[in-house]
Amino acid sequence: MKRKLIQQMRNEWRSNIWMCVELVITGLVLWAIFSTFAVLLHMHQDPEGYDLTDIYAGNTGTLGEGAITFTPYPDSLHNEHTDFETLLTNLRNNPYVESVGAGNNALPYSYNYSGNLFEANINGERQQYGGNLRHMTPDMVRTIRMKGLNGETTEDLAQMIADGQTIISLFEASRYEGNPLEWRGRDVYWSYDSTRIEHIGAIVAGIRRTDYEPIFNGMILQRQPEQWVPDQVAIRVKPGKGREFMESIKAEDLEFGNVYITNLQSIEQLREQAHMNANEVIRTMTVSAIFVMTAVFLGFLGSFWFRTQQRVPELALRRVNGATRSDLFRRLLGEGMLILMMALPFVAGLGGLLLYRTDISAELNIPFPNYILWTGLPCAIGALGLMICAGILFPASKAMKVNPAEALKDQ
Amino acid sequence: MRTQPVIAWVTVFGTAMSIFLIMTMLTMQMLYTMPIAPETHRPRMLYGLYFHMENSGSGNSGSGPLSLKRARQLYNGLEGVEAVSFQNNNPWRTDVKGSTGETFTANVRQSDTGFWDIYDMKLLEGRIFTAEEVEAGTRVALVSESTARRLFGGEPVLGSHFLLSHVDYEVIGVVGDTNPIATWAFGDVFTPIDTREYGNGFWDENFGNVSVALLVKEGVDFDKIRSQVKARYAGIDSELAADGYKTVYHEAPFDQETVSQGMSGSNITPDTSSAELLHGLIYAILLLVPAINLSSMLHSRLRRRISDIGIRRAFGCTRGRIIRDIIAENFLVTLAGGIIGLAAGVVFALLWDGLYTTEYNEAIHPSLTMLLNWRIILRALGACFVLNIISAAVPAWQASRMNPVEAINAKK
Repeated sequence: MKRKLIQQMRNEWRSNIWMCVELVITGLVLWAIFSTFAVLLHMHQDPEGYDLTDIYAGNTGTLGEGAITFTPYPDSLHNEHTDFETLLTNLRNNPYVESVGAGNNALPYSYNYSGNLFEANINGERQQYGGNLRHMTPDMVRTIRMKGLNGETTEDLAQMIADGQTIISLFEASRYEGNPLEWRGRDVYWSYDSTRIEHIGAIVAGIRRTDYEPIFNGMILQRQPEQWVPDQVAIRVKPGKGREFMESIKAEDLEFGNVYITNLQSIEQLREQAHMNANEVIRTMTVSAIFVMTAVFLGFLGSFWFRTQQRVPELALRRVNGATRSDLFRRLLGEGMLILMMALPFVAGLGGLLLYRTDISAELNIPFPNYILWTGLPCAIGALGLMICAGILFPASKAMKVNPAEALKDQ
Repeated sequence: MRTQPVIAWVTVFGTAMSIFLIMTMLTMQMLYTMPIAPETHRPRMLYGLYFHMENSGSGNSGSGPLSLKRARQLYNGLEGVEAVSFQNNNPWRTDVKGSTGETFTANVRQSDTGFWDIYDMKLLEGRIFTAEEVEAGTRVALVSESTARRLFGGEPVLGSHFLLSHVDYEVIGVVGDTNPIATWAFGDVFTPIDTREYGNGFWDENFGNVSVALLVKEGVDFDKIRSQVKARYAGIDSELAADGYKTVYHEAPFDQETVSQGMSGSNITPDTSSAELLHGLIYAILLLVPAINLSSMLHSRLRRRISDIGIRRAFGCTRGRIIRDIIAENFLVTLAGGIIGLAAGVVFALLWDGLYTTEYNEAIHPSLTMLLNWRIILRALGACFVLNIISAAVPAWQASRMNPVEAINAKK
């Protein structure tokens, strides 16, 4: 049976080679697409050291002297900071609000490239830690419920920030020297300014700019400098009371004196905006996958349509000799699968060569284990197999309905 | 084709799908590079973005958008430039409030007067601001037609006042709405750029929030402009030397093609080759995969017509004629699929705004005129032709090489 199948494949060698070439190309494309999805999923599943449910965020602004509603301060006891504190207190008094925090570049999904480097002598070696600089009040730590990697509670972390300690995030040890947890409890100094000493209080999972950003990009978290009015406000509302909170907010709740809050929105909306580029990649990849899979489907549909028409007498003879309809379907399907098996070594070989020669993780600057890229291969082969089945199904079902007597009357 | 409806359907659908995707990709790329009002001079545009300096002693470095001071030093008064605009890097999104009492977020474009020389903005009423108003920081603004409606309802707009980020501004003009596809000219409110030292245009004397649009004179080589800018970088080096810094030049200013692909960073020389390679690869796959299918099906179709071809050859038809006829016949099918794909691409782009996004998170609705641009259509039809040649060449050549006697006997 298998020898006959191979003989049949040889008879149609020209068409089979074209289909095999198509499967090699589409297999490689699908492998790349499924691997990309796997990498994105891997990053998406990285642990987060905070909880963003029921969080609303806004930006703060201050009125300059040119503003029409600017109110001059009567004495030195009143200033933008006192206005800001009153504004936060008013928000805390809202019946739907649980807690309110503030900071600069403090929240996830904030895009800021401000960064800096720490240095420390660890095990006798000078090591560096680089991260995105974020500032927050202890209340912000409580509002987004940060948690430490060494079991530190939100309150512990809030106290560390209040005490002026620095919190850094986990980073990929293999890309730097040493173990990230070794930095905990150390005094470190800023690169280029060895006189500024900071104490590392804890290590956390990190605050990300998008869910598809590697968690291992560093983060340096410090107390909100007193001289700055924070540019971000986070409000945690009582569970499930987001809609009621937004409906309860009036314009006067969002301004006091010369300070105001603008762009108040749920963190979900910020997340959506931050993911615009990633969503575009996912959308393009999905469309591309659908295209190549449809192309394979159409290719097999067309080719097997001709093939079954040309082989009507042969199929009829098989029926006369006792072959069932499912035998015929299996035979045609076997031809399709054999072509896929012919393509598989080329797909695996070419793709494997590419993976062997290129450190994709380093190229993309995204840390992930190599096996993730290989998970795309079985997915690609599975998808191609499904499309081949679908493509062969229609011509095969037509062929299975053939009446042997009718088909063989000219023979 | 009538005798093989399934094959006809498969062929036309496969081609249509391929052309639809090619058309969609082309549109996504070309909308940001081809001349579209108000950015009608895109092929002659260069953009000055970012400033990068480093200290070789300490290893410290800094890069980011330009301050107005550095932007003017580098790009003002260049030879071969027709007009120059100093404008904010991205529109400033902030709250506005007019006589209707509605507070909403608007995109505020800050610029000098050169902006109005470069972009074909439609001034519906009023006037643009003057150079004196820019230098004096006068609080005047032009608003787009739709923003004027939201700010003032149906009331007269010229001379009216509104709050822009809580600051009072007077409306001196109304312009037609701009599409976010026009990345550099887009805005809802247009005000003079802040020229005060350490105002909005400055973070410090090197870095700020300024980008520069240059309209190059007809026929002037872009490299001529770049060489002048590079020479000016050397001038800034002597200024920075006291602090141990020196500038890093990244081939600025950049053309429309480069900026439309997204700048990788302020401290990197943009490399369009990898993006071009990726696009080339995608186009190749979009053409090659359906071409293999079409080729395989055409080959099977021709096998059924072996005797026809044999008879034609026996009556003196040349091989060239056979090839031409098969390619022409196949082109008709490809063209039919192509036209369906093209139409589907246009309808899709009109109906689904999720296809096009900008960094401002604005939904882009390309108009029918933009989509029916001859450059896009010509390229899509070109893709049909290439698809046809790739798919038909080998089967047609094989069919033409048949021995007439064997073909008539249908032995092959």
